[in-house]
Amino acid sequence: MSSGDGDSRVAGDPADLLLAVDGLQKHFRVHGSKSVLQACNNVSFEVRRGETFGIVGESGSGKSTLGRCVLRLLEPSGGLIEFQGHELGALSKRELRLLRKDMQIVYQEPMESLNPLWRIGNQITEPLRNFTSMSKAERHARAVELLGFVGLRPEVADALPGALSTGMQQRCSIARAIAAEPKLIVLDEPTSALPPETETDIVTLLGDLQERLDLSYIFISHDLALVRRFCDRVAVMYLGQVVEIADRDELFARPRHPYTQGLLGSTLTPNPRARVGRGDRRVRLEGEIPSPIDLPEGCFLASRCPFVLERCQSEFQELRVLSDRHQTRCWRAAEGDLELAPEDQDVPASSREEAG
Amino acid sequence: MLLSVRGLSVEYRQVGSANRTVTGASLEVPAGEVVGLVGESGCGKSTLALAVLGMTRRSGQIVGGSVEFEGQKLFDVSQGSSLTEDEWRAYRGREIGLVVQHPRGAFNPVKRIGEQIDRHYQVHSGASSGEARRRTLELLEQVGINDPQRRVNSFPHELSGGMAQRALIAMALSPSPKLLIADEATTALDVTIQEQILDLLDELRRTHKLGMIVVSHDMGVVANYCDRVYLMNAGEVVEHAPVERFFEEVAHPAAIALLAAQGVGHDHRAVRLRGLPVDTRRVPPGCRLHLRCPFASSDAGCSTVHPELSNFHDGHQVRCHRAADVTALAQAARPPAESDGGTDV
Amino acid sequence: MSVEPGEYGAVGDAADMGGERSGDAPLPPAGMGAQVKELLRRSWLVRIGLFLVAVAVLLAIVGPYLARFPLEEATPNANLPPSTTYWFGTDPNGFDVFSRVLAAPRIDVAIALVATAIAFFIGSAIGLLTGYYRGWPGEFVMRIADLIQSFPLYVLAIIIVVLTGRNFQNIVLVIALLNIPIYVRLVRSQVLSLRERTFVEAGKAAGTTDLNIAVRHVLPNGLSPALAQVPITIGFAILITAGLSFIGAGVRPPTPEWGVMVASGAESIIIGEWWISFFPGVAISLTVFGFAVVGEALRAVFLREV
Ligand SMILES: Nc1ncnc2c1ncn2[C@@H]1O[C@H](COP(=O)(O)OP(=O)(O)OP(=O)(O)O)[C@@H](O)[C@H]1O
Ligand SMILES: Nc1ncnc2c1ncn2[C@@H]1O[C@H](COP(=O)(O)OP(=O)(O)OP(=O)(O)O)[C@@H](O)[C@H]1O
Ligand code: SF4
Ligand SMILES: [Mg+2]
Ligand SMILES: [Mg+2]
Repeated sequence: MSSGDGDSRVAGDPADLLLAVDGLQKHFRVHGSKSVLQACNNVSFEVRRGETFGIVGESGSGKSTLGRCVLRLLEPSGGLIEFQGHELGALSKRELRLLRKDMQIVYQEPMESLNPLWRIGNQITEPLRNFTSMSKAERHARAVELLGFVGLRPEVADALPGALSTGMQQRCSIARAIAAEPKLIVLDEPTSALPPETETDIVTLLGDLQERLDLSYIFISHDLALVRRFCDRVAVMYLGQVVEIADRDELFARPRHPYTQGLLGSTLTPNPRARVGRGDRRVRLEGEIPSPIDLPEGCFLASRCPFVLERCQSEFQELRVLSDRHQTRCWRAAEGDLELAPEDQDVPASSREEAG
Repeated sequence: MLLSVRGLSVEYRQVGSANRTVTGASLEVPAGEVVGLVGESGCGKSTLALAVLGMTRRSGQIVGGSVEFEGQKLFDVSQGSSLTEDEWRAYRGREIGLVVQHPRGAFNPVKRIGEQIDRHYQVHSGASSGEARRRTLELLEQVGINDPQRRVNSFPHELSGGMAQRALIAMALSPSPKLLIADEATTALDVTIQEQILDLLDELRRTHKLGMIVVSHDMGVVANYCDRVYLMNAGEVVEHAPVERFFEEVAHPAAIALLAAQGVGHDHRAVRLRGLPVDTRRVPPGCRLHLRCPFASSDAGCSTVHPELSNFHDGHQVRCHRAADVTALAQAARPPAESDGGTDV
Repeated sequence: MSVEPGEYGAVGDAADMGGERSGDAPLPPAGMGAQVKELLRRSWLVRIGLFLVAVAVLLAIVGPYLARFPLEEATPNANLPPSTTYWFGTDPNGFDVFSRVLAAPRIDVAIALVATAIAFFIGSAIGLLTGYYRGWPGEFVMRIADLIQSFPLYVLAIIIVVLTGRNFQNIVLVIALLNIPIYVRLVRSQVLSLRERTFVEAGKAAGTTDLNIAVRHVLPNGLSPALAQVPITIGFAILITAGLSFIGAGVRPPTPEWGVMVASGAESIIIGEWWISFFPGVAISLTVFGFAVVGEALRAVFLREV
């Protein structure tokens, strides 16, 4: 499947394995032309029980598409997905539907993911209606309990989504995902509409649930500080490819791929006296992102990479194994050319300098 | 003054109850300045942003206040006056651009995004369709959407979350508004692209004197791009200050809690407001926050007297009886007890 | 017809931004209930429309009991002009035109309501299924719909009724059949765009079956245009019923029915006996007009909300 791609398997007890994605592809047809848009390109990774797997990457790099394909909410164009030992593509419609009890998703856009005509209480207990024999009253009680978890009042159960603020909608959609106590949740920017206080609460809640239920998360986010705080392993996506995949500490301390270095290098500190000065970053990616419709031949980053050499332009980059905890899709990085000193990579939540 | 909002109140009316989610909010935006609007989830930021344009969401009604744009009254509830629908057209979208918080929902799902942006521009500028398309392509390029030639043919659901958000920003900017209201407009974007967009806006601010209201919960964005910050809580503006003061001399307990959660501040990292946000249908007497506030004291009148927004410093107003003490106390204060802080998780 | 997001400027929430506003109403009420109220307050036309509809429906219920003379009993007093006894005059059979005008909705409005209900339910169901489960059956249904709609409806109606026999049921079924394609189209086009929405996928993620997603998530969100079409269909159905009866293909005389009545006086118009056709004619026009106005108003309210 993932021919030639570095082996993404992680050492460990195979019984620990919850999800294995192998060579996943998703292509979309482009209107008015024969070409295809390659939103996901040969993506392979594994998620263990109780683990939080982070996915970061630029807008449009295929993170949401990947998340939806993994749960087979979108039909992948190729590749294998094994969840709890079932190959999802081989299941019947009904089997797949019943398996959904164990795999849930929080969509990126809260407003869009809630039916405007359903009361919140019914909406967040929809999985319970389908997967359990709970009575209406029991479900309502559970809805109130779930709303309490995510910091919302019981009255919200009777509201329509349109009467909630975006942050409240987002928390409802989290409540729905945890309602049936699944094994895996794809969290697509689950706190993007939440202010820091609430974000902290939600992340704490997710952490508690993880411990209690041995839950795994695929955590899609562009908030690097949050990823660093919450994820065990992280994959970096660029143009539908995973360009780097590593343990959290390893990735943040020693990012190897130039794209990752660029990504980690940029952050806004909450300090008005240290407003962004440009050009002071170690790696800055300039120029156009290539279109996922006409992908370059060689390394996908070649047109933007400050370290580009001739070989990069022509040679397709495979995911290379650096260690059992670290793989990267860059030959220069693999040869150890591009190490960054760890102190250049500082992305904590509180990188505030004391100002005079 | 580009925009001045005075005493704006908005109510959502449902059978048997009225929920006044914005109460007497005042706000000013000078030309070429960026005003940040921050606050807890559900405190009324989006409601306020929309009300500036004389609009509300379903079942809402503007029940008080006035808005003036470049000296022209857009509406004034106390005088019962408002622009006519035709006159509004000259403001909504043209003079005042709005980027809403749910970008995909803002597009018509069955029309290509290029057409929609073209049309928005044409309606507001009278340009030909050729010109409109050129402008659309140029703007999409500027907001960092690659391959705009092909992207214009996409339907909204074919864009990624961040792309939809950027396409909406492009649409709002196309008629060159003088004021842009951006409601969490960069939340779906990674830092690199976020910066590109914010730099673009900053450029417009400098060259075209574009004024902005930026609703954001990202204190990084606020610190780096705003000139003045307004903090809302339970539908009221409870503090506003120039950005440096806001981050350093902040005086309202809600502001301290907000900054603490984002890791900004000195020794008061763990200051939090207790419990759930105030229910604006049943506001307590006195300070709306007194049941949640770690600094509340009955001697100061927190539980009996509703505090007014009063001058704390030059250009820095706070709605808190204890503002003067809070800054000092904040340094020393420890959270009352770990257990009763925060939402019930 | 639907409001373009961003059309009146405010990019975005435009669709939820409430109804028409005027200078004298300081600030806009939003929300469907408020919008309906606003519409009523502002538009006397809509109020008249609603009044006419209410009268028609009321007459359909109580009309026959208001008769001042027996409805189907011929008398020698034929072709009398309007007078204090016979307010609308009498017709060639000596029937009292006034009594019959009031009694006719029992037939006309009833046929229209039943036919519309059938068209609405069957059409919406077909529209939902063909839109949600795309594929050749849907295409096939759409071609049939095209076929039905490409015929001159009136002619088609006559042919079918003549072929199947003139009775109440057949007239109802023909009118329903003619209107089903309209509802199929309205619902289907909504469903085609709704099925791409994230909340539909969220239903799938929550383990809801396809059919349940279609019925519980998609349909309620796609029904507004079809609902707004209902009064328009009713008006149209009344017109067709009357038309069929007028040419003798519908309700049989002497049943009190507007088309029949217009027909019974058609020849007398030239000799100056205008009242026989005039009053039922006016009744048809007013009723159809009322439903049409209400339909348009509903569209204005509903389609803003889409
Ligand atoms: N239904 C679709 N049809 C066609 N193209 C699509 C569709 N869905 C996604 N795409 C394309 O696939 C690519 C990846 O989109 P995706 O939503 O996965 O990005 P993302 O990484 O989640 O970005 P963001 O951070 O902005 O949400 C984009 O180029 C997008 O335009
Ligand atoms: N259409 C509505 N009907 C009734 N109540 C509403 C409606 N829209 C919003 N509200 C209520 O008004 C309050 C303020 O909502 P608003 O959207 O302005 O919050 P916000 O500050 O923008 O929050 P967020 O940061 O989560 O977007 C919320 O408590 C919400 O429940
Ligand atoms: S007035 Fe009192 S209760 Fe209100 S914020 Fe200040 S200290 Fe807290
Ligand atoms: Mg996404
Ligand atoms: Mg909001």
